[in-house]
Amino acid sequence: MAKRKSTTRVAKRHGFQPYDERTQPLRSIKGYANTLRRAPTRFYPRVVSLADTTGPRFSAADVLAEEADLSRQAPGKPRALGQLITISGRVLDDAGKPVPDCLIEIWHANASGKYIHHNDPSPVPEDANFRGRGRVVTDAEGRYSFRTVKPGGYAVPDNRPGDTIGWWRPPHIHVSLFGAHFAARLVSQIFFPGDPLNEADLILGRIPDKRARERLIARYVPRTTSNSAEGDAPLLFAHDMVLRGRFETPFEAR
Amino acid sequence: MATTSARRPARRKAPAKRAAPKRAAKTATAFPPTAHQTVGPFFPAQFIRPTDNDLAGLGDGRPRAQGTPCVIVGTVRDINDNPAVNIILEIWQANAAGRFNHPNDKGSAPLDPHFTGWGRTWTDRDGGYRFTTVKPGGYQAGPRSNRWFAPRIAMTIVGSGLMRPLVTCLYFPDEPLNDDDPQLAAIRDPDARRQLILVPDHHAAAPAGVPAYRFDIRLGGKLATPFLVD
Repeated sequence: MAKRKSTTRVAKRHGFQPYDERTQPLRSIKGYANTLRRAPTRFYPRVVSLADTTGPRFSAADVLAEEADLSRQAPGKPRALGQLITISGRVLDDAGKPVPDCLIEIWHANASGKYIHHNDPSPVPEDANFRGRGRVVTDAEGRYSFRTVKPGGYAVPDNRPGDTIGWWRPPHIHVSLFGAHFAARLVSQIFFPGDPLNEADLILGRIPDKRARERLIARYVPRTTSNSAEGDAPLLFAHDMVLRGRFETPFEAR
Repeated sequence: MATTSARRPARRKAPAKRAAPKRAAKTATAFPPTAHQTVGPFFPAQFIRPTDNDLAGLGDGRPRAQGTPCVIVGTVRDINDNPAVNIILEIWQANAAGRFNHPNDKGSAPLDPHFTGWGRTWTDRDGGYRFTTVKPGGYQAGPRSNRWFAPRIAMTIVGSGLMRPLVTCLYFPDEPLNDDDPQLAAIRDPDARRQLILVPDHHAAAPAGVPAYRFDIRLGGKLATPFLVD
């Protein structure tokens, strides 16, 4: 165990620690066959080095402004069907400091519960006006905002023997983040408050710690103004995400 | 202090199947990291640009990175030895001089304006993948350290069914620094260490004069690729 201890010490000095296992999902799910076919089995101690505490950097120049709006194909194009929403928040490090220049990629199903993807065999209708994917880079305060339509839930074919009913995914937004270094990489999902499917979701439910599960659920924000700048009124949701490690990088000239 | 440890009860061997603890540790920070969830099967293809797997800039009209280019190919397979399609592989490495393109690397080795060090691709219908990069340099464990990390490529793997990203690293064969590399030394099993070392592949398609290496990935089972505790 001496080896493991020294790994932890190096990790602390470099600004991140191994994840608290209770706040992260278990790896196998009955009913989700890919988790069983692909379940990793062999883990070895990690020796933290510069390869973990450095990583790719992105900037606002890497994305287009229109990529923040999934509710239509391009500015001026017709709106996708469904409840218009914004999802906004901040990306923080585990000291609570904002993470600027964090590339956030999101994608989700349309209002009927269908993805724009050749892997989605679902018979529910597509929506030609729905963009389905978006990218933004956080500002100096770690803030981000997307405009989109609320995704629908959808049925998942079940792989459990004897169960032909299947199970349902609650409405959710997939999210992928590149933080200050390679070890801060996060791939997660954002759920909606008050949805009865959240409680029964096999994927969200695989996180042992209740509060860690609750932290994946966005917060509904009551409106304080009547309309957005565009004259419409999206429902507002707020969601902060925390990346492992400390963001202490002084910015150097590019 | 010997008496303290003598009084401590003998550590029990962890049972094979533990019940999942219900609550997180009280020592958790005020800002615990957000939980991972699977990337699922629907990651947008548009997020992976065709040049994202060419770190060396060998493609037409792209600026060439400094150093020795190489091609890395491989197949990702599941525990039943079936190809794992749609698996997203991301790599990160130092440049040929051993410098990471990031302010946390305070080393004096030169940066290469044509090398970011980052790449991403995904597996095709046969589970196959391919990167073109340059062989990274080794790097010091710290500014005043005389321990060195061998040239290596860090890899993160996400995909449908992977509830958390998997982390591993790729080493080069016939590299003297491998013998003293702290990460390889922490892996006691010689078979596991060997699995992390790229294998020269003389059959892989590569531009003339560019060496190709193979790194096959097995996600589970007895022959699984060694992953690092995250």
